[in-house]
Amino acid sequence: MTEHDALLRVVEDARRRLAARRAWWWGGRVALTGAGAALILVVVRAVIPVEIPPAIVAVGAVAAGLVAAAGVRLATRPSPLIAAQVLDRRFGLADRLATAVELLIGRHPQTALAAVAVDDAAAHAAALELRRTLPGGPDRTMAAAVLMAALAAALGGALGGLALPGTPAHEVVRTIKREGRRLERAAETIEERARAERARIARRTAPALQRLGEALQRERMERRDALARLEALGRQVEAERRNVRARREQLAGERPGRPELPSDLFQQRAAVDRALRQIRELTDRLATARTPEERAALMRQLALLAGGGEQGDVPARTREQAEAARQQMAGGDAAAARRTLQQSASELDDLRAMLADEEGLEQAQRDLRRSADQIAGGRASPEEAADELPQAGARPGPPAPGDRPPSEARGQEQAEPLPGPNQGTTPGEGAIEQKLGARTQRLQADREQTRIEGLRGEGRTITSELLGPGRAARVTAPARPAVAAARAEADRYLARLRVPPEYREIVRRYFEALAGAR
Amino acid sequence: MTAARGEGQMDVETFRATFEAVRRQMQRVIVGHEALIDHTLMALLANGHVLLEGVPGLGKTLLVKTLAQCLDLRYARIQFTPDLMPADIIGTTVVLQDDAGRRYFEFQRGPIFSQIVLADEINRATPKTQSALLEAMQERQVSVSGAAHPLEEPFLVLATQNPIEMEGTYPLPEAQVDRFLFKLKVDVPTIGELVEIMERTAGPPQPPPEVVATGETIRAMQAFAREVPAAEHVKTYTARLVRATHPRDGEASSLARRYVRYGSSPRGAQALLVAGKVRALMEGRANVSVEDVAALALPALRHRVLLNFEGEAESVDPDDIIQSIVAELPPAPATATWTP
Repeated sequence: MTEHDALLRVVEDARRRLAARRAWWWGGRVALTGAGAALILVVVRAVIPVEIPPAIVAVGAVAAGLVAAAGVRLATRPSPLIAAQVLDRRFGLADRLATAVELLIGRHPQTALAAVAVDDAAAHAAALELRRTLPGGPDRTMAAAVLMAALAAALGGALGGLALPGTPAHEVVRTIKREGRRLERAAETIEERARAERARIARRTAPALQRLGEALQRERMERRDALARLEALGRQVEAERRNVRARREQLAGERPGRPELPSDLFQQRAAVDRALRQIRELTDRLATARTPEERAALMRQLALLAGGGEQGDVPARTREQAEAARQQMAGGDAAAARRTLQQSASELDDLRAMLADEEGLEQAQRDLRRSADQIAGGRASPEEAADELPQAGARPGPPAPGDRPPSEARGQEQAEPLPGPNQGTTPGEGAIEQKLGARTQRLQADREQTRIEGLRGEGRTITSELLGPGRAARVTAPARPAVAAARAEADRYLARLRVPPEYREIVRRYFEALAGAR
Repeated sequence: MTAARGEGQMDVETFRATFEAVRRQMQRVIVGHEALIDHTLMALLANGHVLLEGVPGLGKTLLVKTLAQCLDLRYARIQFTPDLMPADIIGTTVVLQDDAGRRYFEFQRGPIFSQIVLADEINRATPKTQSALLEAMQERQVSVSGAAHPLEEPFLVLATQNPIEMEGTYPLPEAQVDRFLFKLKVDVPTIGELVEIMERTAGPPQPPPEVVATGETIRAMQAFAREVPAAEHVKTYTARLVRATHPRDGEASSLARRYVRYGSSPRGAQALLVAGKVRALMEGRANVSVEDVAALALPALRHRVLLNFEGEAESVDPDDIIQSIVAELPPAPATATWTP
């Protein structure tokens, strides 16, 4: 290898290193910018609910930096001349390498000193240690970007769910906690109902719902995490519900595509209850039936039951068992018929419990979905928001029909309402009643406290519209002599302004004409 | 590092050694003024001329005389006065009579026919006389009565002018100023230098400087310097530097934009590059660098920058303008992308 080859090799090495350094420089800037954005995101999330986690942004920033570095590395590379110039500048070689490269590639006319210049440059190039002085690896910016990204990810994890009071992010945190309380209460309700109705699976699910509610209240949780946990529990409950439904359909003896029971769970329970009552009644009557008439009546009842009952919603298995009992009775084996009916009652009891299970699980699903909706929307439902307020007497709820307004209620105790600075249409000018007259009279009816049993969404919603004439009432707004007042005001202005007398007279006549017209 | 040139052998080391030897001999006589000596030698080796500016008594004449002694060159000093005529410089044709009584014309050579000419206080002569130097400086020949008389190489004109005493002077026209490769300022010596001057001149006479090079050597060195290669970006930098002295150029400094009426001519770029080559050899290099050009920007450009009225009114020093240009001009913009 000649000295000239060595020189070109050094320049080529410098090209590679410069390209790599530039690539890392750009990659570092991109990553640093992204990592900075991740750090900013950590702070912003304490104010505004942002769903993107800083860790993802941080990792994305480093990845984007690497991609940018790779792209720059592949797309750009300095020419040998530029590389030589850079080496000249960096190592103080007084443009030896650039001149020599130009001479070697024939860009410069050969002079008597050309060979000398190239030899001189080659000698200087041989002494260069590019590995140490021009490293081609990641620069400090990239390292700083990685550190910053790691810091952003760590801070994002440590400060996740932290929100400054009075900010939208804080509102989300409050919503999560409120929904946690609500889920806890819902879990208690489901458990109580499940215990009462011997719904074992629903009872098993309630603690999971309760634990989730407690976790939402206790842990500093972000919206995304809360939604994920709600979804996870929702999936679990859905799987349970599917199992219960499959077992229930099996127990009811339903064939696919030909359900005998109504699709609505509530109606199903009613049908099962009805069938259960009839089976029990028939079982009791079977024990006491002595006369042929009584037995014939029982046979008719069993035949009716085997045919689907009066409403045709008796489960298929029960129908079969009723038919079996009827045939046993017809064969004169009343004891066997009674055992069959007892067996049927027992199975219906199990079916009822499964329906309760399914209903409890559906309720849990509804609660979970609702909480997810509320948390995703970042706000609490009005009733839940009301739960946040002090419970006893601090603030009354919305007035019911027939309620008397608070001011009226006060009026019974105090003869004259005290005028306050915020009363009236204009502050300090009296109460609304004084300006607009008394309130329209309300219906004279006592308010009744009614508590409706049941769960939301269970009952039917009835909407009706009442049409009719409004009640005649006396106008209470005081009449004012508007034209006279306007004329007096015009007089005052005319007296103040410098208006020529002839025009003043025209104005006066105009207002007098108005007054006359009235 | 040897390169054959002409009849003799010259290489970078010989060039440098000769330069050093001449400089050493001049420093034996001249106290201080290292930059002045270096630049004068560079101008000589770049085959240019020098305009020296300084108050009287700073050793300008001694510098020129010493240079001539060191190089064994013919030296002439012309004291420029208002009544000096062109013929006093160039020479004149006289009528002579031979032994046979026949008359004939003969050209009597003037002091310009020397190798080193000191045009002392050149601004005291009339423009007509000053212009007599024009052809000699540029064409290196003198034309009289239709006949061209070449001047012997090496030929160096060192003109002096007093920057303070301006009464009764004729400022050099721009065309003539542009013909000087360098304009050098002769500064007042420091205390140490003054003490040294006193010791050298108030004591026993010093031995004269030795002849360390000849005219032939200087010519070989001049030719050798022209062989120094200059990279493309160095030439581009030189051109950008010269362009930046013009107020409307995109790379002109703020000072140039404000105070310059007209910037350097292309002669400025030529001067920078040729002198840069000499400087490179002087430093033992076989190539010109951007640093060489930048280092010579002041002597090569300061007399080529014409100030506008505002600059004249505010007594702006062209050196400040040129320094600002050099400071603000990136040497190799193409590398900036690759050196983040």
